[in-house]
Amino acid sequence: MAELYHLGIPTSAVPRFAVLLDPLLPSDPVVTAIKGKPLASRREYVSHSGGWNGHEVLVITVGIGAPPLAIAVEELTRSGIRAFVLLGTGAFNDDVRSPWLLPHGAARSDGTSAQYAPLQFPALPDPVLRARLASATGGAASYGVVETVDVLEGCPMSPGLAAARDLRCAALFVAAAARGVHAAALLVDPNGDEAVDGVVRHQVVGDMAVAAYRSLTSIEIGESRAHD
Amino acid sequence: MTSGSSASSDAPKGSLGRQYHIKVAPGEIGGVALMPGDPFRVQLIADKLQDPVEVAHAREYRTVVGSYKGMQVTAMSTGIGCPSAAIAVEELARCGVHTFIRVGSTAALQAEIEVGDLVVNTGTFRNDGTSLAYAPLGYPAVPDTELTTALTLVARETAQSLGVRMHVGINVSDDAFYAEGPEWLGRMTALGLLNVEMESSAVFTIARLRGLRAGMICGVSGNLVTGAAEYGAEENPRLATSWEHSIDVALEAAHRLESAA
Repeated sequence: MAELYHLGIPTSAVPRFAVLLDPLLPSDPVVTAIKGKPLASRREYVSHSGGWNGHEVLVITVGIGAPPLAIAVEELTRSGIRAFVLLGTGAFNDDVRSPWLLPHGAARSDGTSAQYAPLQFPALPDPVLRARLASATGGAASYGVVETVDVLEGCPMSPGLAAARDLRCAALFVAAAARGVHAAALLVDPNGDEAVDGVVRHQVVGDMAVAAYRSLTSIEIGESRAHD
Repeated sequence: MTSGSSASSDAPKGSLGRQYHIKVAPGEIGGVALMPGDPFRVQLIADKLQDPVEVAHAREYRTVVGSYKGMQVTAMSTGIGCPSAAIAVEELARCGVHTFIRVGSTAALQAEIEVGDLVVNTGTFRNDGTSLAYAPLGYPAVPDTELTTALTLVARETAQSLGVRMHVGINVSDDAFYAEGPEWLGRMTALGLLNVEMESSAVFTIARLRGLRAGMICGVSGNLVTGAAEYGAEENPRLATSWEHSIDVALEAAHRLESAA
């Protein structure tokens, strides 16, 4: 049986929708929401599959940083995933008042996205998927630009330019654009009000998961591709 | 991801408590660490140690301690890529590790290097983003000289006695496994680089900046000039054998250095 090279998932088991899960977030509420069953566990990638409103959905933890995230996007895209929502963490600026940040663009201070496209290429989420994600959170998320970096510790935030810093969004948006698939992200700050001792509360992550599943399964694949 | 930012506020640099990502505390591990990328390959190292004990397993970081010829050894996976490898080195350093040996998988960039060969690297072309957050590109990513010499000598002995091939030279670290186009790979081959992997740029750079020892020995998983091979022990027994060899070489090289010290 053919398996994805790094992810270990049988290629026949890959559906059209995937949630990419930051391993810093508890996976239980995300997996439980789709009554997920274990699919594979290889390297840092732990995968479950389940259902949402009659649609098959995959959840996969993606390790730390953009390199393993890009590998997951590539291998899943090759096997049939057409839309991704990243449920991630970020370090929010103090002026972000909402529990969640919905990036409408990413500053590309990472190494991974640079290997996909020159820095002039904008790192943007899919507009339709982002809008559906906004609706699915009931308007509770702030919009903002996130700066994607490769090292969080010790790096001062560029004042005024970004609402948050993270380790993945730019690579997700650029790799997804390069491969012609939909992608968006919803971030939470593990040092913010939604977390206790650095662990984001299960209820909050569960709400994020529901928003991800509702938005993913509501889009028409290809609907926001201008050249389609 | 991390929330290393959160980490930085909770556990500032130099903090000696239980580390934020790897969940290891000072006193729980020794000074010599072998680091594969894949958490499942930590077991290959554990199987070669006396009295192996799992200290922690958080995210992509699985940590086992044991002993080799009386030397305490830590085996911890780094996960894929420089961002997570950098966190591994930083947090292990805070727990007392002074010698880091990456025992990795790598793809060859020169036609004559075959699957299952061993490669000891003497420097890394920095095509990653992480090391750039630490030092400008003019700063060289070089491993520790003594450690690299020991790895080379032991690898040569192993190669001769077991009839396997080994190579010594410069590699490149990359951030995007699937964005390595033929043009870019051709440039790397033309520059004489032996192999591409995804972690040594950060490991070498950070260890240098922190005054610590780092080195690397890899098993070759495929050849990007002549055509790739499959990953995994079943699909690729020559790769699996080279993992074993690379671990044996790393353990013996570390033991010689520590004995000489």
